[in-house]
Amino acid sequence: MAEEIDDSGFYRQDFSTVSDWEVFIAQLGETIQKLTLSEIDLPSHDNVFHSNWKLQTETILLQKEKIVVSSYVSTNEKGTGSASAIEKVANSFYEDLMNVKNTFGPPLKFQDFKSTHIISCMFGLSRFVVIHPYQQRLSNPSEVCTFLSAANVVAAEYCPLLPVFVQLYEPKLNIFVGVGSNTTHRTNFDIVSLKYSPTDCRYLSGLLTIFKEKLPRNVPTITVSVRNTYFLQPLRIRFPMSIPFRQFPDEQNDMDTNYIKSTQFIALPSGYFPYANTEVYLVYTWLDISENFALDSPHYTDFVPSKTQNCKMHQVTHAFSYMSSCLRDFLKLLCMEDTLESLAGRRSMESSGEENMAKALRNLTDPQHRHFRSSGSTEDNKLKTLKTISGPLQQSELKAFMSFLFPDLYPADKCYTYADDILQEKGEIDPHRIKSAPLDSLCSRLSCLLATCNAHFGGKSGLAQLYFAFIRELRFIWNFRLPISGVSATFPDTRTCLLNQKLQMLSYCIDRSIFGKYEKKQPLSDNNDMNESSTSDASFKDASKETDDEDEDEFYDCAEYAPEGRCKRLDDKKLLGCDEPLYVPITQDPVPKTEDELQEDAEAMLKHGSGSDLSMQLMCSSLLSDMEAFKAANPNGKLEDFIRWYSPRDWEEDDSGLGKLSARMEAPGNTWQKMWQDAKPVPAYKQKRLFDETTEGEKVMSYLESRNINEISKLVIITVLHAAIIKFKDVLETEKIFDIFEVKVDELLADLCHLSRNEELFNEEISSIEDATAKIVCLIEKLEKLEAQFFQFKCFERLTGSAECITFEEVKQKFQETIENGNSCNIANTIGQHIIDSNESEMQKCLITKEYVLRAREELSGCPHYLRAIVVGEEVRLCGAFTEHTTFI
Amino acid sequence: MAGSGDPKWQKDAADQNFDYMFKLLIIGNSSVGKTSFLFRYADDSFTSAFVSTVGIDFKVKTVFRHDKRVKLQIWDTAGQERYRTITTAYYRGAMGFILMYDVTNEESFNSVQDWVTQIKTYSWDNAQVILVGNKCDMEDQRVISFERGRQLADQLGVEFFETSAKENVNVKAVFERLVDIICDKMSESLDSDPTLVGAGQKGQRLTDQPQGTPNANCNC
Repeated sequence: MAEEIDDSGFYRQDFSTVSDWEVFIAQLGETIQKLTLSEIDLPSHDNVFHSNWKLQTETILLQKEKIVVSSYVSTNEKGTGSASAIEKVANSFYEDLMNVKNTFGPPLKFQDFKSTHIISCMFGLSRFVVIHPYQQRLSNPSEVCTFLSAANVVAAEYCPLLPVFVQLYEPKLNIFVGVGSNTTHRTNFDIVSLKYSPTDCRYLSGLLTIFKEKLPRNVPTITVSVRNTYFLQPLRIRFPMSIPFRQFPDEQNDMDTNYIKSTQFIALPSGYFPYANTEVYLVYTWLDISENFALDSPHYTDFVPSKTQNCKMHQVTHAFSYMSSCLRDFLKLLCMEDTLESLAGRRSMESSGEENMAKALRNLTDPQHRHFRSSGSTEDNKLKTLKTISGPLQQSELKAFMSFLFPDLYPADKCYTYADDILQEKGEIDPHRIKSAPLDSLCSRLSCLLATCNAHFGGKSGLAQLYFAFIRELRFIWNFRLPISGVSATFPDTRTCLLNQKLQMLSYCIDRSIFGKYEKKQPLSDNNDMNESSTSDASFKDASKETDDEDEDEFYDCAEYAPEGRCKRLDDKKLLGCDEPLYVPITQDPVPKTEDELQEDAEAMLKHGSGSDLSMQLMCSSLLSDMEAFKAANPNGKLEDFIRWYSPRDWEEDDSGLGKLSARMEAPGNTWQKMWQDAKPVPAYKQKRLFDETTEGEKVMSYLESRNINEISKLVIITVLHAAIIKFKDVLETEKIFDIFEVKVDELLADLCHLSRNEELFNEEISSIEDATAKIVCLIEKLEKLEAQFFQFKCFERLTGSAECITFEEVKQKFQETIENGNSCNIANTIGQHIIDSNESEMQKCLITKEYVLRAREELSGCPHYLRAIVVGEEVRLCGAFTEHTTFI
Repeated sequence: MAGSGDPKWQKDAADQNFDYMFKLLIIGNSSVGKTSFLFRYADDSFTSAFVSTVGIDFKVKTVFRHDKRVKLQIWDTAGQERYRTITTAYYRGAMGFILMYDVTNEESFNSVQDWVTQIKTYSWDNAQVILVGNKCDMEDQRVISFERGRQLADQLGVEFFETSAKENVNVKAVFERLVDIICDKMSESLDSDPTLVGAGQKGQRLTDQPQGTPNANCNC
C-alpha cells in the first residue's frame, strides 16, 4: 500500500508558479507527440482526396474543461515504410500546399467527399492536428488567443512541421485558425468567410492583389488554378405511377410525362416517385497556369467553358421506383403473423363450409356442369360469392384480379389467357435456375398481384382479401374438377417453388380425376360420397378404405384367370417355358410428391432406419403393384419374366441363349422373390391406388387454406422478386439498352438463384427472420440502384440524345462510361459540345461555384504561400496560408 | 445454405455429435455395384449377392475430416429405369454425387451422359460429382479402359476413380475425395459471398484446419 501512495504523489505539493496555461501547453504538446508518435503509417502525399484517413482522438483538461485533440493522417493503402519516406515527411506540409494534385477534390455535393476533412480540402494537407473544446464553442477573443498562442508554442516546440489548427465558432461554419512551424519559419493558416464580399474578391484580378499584398518581395511567379462548377437545371422526367388494373385519371399531359414501356405484362406497379430527378454538374478546370496567362475581372473573363479541354460532367440521380417500394412493403409481411380470418373476416371463412360443399357435390353429379364455362349464368353466382369476402378491394377490382388469375372462368374478358407453353408437359427450366414459378404462370401472376395488393390496394387486408378470393375460386375449381389453366398438370417440379408445386399437384389431381385411367366411374369428389360409391361397385378399391382389402383376397386364389391390363408387347419376347408373348402391363403411375412431402418421407426413413417396415412400405408398394399388374397381364409369367422386363441387367444370357437370374436375384429369400410370392394377379385399375387424388387434392386445398400472412409471403416472395427483375429486364430490352445493364442484371438473377435455393432462409430454427429479410433487402437495394440508373439513362439520353450528330450507340457508350466512373464522365467531345450548345444562353446563370487557388513559393527557402478562394454567389471564403521568417521579421 | 445439409434432419438424427452433415447420392445404371460399394464403405463387407435395391435406401456414417466430424448421409438408389421418378426426387439437396458405371459393361458407361443430365436437371447448382468405374478387379471382362473413363471425366469436368468394391480398391478414397471437394466448395462460396456466412461455425473455413493426420483419423 505504501508504494501506491508514493506513486500517486499524493502528499506532494506543487510549489512552482506554473500557470494553467503552461500546464495546458505541456499537456497538449505531450498529447500531440503521443498521437503522432504512434503513427506507423506515413502520410501519403499523392492525393488527399483518394486516400484513407486515420483519425486518432484524445481528450485533455483545461480548467476542468474538456479539450479534444484529433490527429488526421492520410494513408496509402499499401503503406510506405521506407527510410526515404521519412525524409520526405520533413517538410510535408510545404509539399502538400504546393501539390497540384491536391488542388481540387471532388465537386462538393458528392458523397465520397465526406471522408476528407474540410481542412484537407481547403489546404490540401495530408497530416494535421485539430484542437477544439469538447462542448463549448470558441468565440471569445481572449479564449481564442489562449488556444492560438498555445498552438503556436506547441507547433514550434513539440511538433515541428505538423500544422496545428484550432476550431472556432460553430463546427458547421468550418472556421479554423492554424499554425505550422519549423526552426526558422512559421506558416499561418487562416480562414475568412464573407457573406457579402466586395466584387473584387470574386475575381482573379482582385484576389491576385490581395495575395500579392501578403507576399514578401522577390517571389518569382504566382501560379493559378481555377475550377468553375455549373449546375444545370435538374432533369425531371415524369414516369407516373402505373398500377395494374387501376385506371388513373389522365394526368395533365405534360411534355415530361412518359410511360415505362415493356412488352410483357407483369402485374407489378411501375413508374417513379414524383420528385425523381437527375442533377447535372459541369465542372471546368484550369490547373496550374501562370498568373499572366488569363484575365478574370468583373468585366471580362477567360475562364469560360469553351476555353478548356478539362471538363467533366457529374450526375446525381434521386429516383425511387414504385416497384422497388412495392417489394420493400411486401418484405415487411414476412414477420406478420396475422391469420386470414383476422383480416378477411370470419364470415368469409365459414361460407366455404358445408353448405357450399353440399352444393358442390350436387353440381358435381350433374354432367351439364362440365360445360358450365360456356354458360353465363354461373358467372353471376361467382360474383355473388366474391361479394361475401370483406375487405378493402372493390368488387370490380376483385373481379378484374380473378379474371386475370382464372381467365377461363370469366370468359367475358378473355384478354389474359395463359400462354400455351406454361401448360406444356415439360416446361423449360428457368435459365437462371431460380426456384420460383414459370413467368406468367398462375403462381407467378398470383404472387405479383398479392404484392401489388399489399402496396396499393389496402395493404395486408387487401392481400388477405385477394388470397381469400383466390382460394375460394380454387376450391370451386377443385370441387367441380375443372382444369386449372396456368399450371401444368404434371408431377410437382421440385425445381420450382413450393406454391407452384402445390398448384401442380392440385392440377395433377384434377387431371387424374377427369382422365383417370383406372376409373370406369365418374370421379369421386369427397369422402362423404364414398359410402354410396363403394357399395355400388364392390370391386373398386380406394386407398381410404383399406380395411376391405383382406376380405377380398380369396377372390384371386384361383389359378386360372383371364389376362387383364395388357399395355403392349415387350419387343418379340416370349414367356419362358411357353409360347406366349410377354406383355408389359398397364401400371399405376409413380406417386407424385411435393418437396415438403418428400422431406417428410426422407425424415421418416432416417428416423426409422434403413430396412425398417416403414421404409419397405414406402419403397415396395410400387414394386408390388407392378408385379401384380404383370401377373394379371401374363397369367403364365414367372419372376424371371418379370425381371426380364423390369430389370433386364439381372437376366444373364450365355452364348447359347440360355438365361438365368443374376446371383442377387437368385439369393434365397430376397425382397424381390418375397414380393413375387406375395403378389396377386391384379390389374392396375383394380389395385389399391398408390395415389389417391381425392385425398391429395384435398390436402393441397387445406394447406393453402390454412396459411397465415407471413406464410403466404414466404411462399411467394421469391417469385415476386423474380418477376420484378424480369420486368425490369423487359423494360431495358424494350429500350434497347439491356447491354449496358446485362452484367448487373445477371448478377442480380444469380443472387436470387442463390437465395431461392437457400433452404435455411425461412427456416426459423436456423436463421432469424431478420437475417432472411436482410439478405432480401440487400437484393432489393441492388435492384433499386439499377432502376435509378435506368432513370438516369433516360435523363442522360434527353441531355445528349436529341442532337443529330450523336448516335444512340454513342449515347449508350458515354452513359456506360458515366456509371463506371462514379457517375461522372469526360465531356470534352461532341457530346460535351452539344450539352454546352444547348444550354449556352443559360450557362452563365448556372455557374454556382468558382474556386481559385493561388500559389507562390520563395526560391531560396522554399516557403509556400497559398490562397484559396471559394466564390458562391456573393459569398466568398478565403483560405490563406502565408509563411514568415521567425528570426528576421 | 450450401453448407450444412438439412437442419431438420440434423435434429432428428439419433447421433447429434457432428459438425457438418453432407447428403450424398450414389447413382448409375442397374447392377453396376452401387449397393456393394456403399456396404464396403459403411460396413466393410462384401457379398456378390446384395439384394437389388428397391427404390432408395441409405446408410449413415460419420467421418473425421480436418478435425471436424462430418456425418455422411449416403443415399443408395435403384438403377432401374422404372425408379427414375422416385430417385430423382431425392436429388434435391444432395451435395455430392457418386456417378457409377461398370467397367465390364459398355451400356452402363454410355449412360453416364444421361445421368449427368439428370443431375443437372434435378440437383442443386453446387453439387459435386465424382465419376467412378466400378468392378476394376474383373480385368478379364473389362470393356471400358481406364483411359476412356478418364477422358469422359475430363470432358465432364469431374474427378475420376476406378474402384473395386469386392477387392476394396479406392472405395474409401472416393468418399474422402468427395467430402474434401464439398468442403472446398463450401469454403469457396463462403469466401466469395460474405452474405452467405451464417451464424457461428458455418463461417469457418474447413480447409483451414491443419492438414496434420486427417487420413489416419478417417473412417473410424
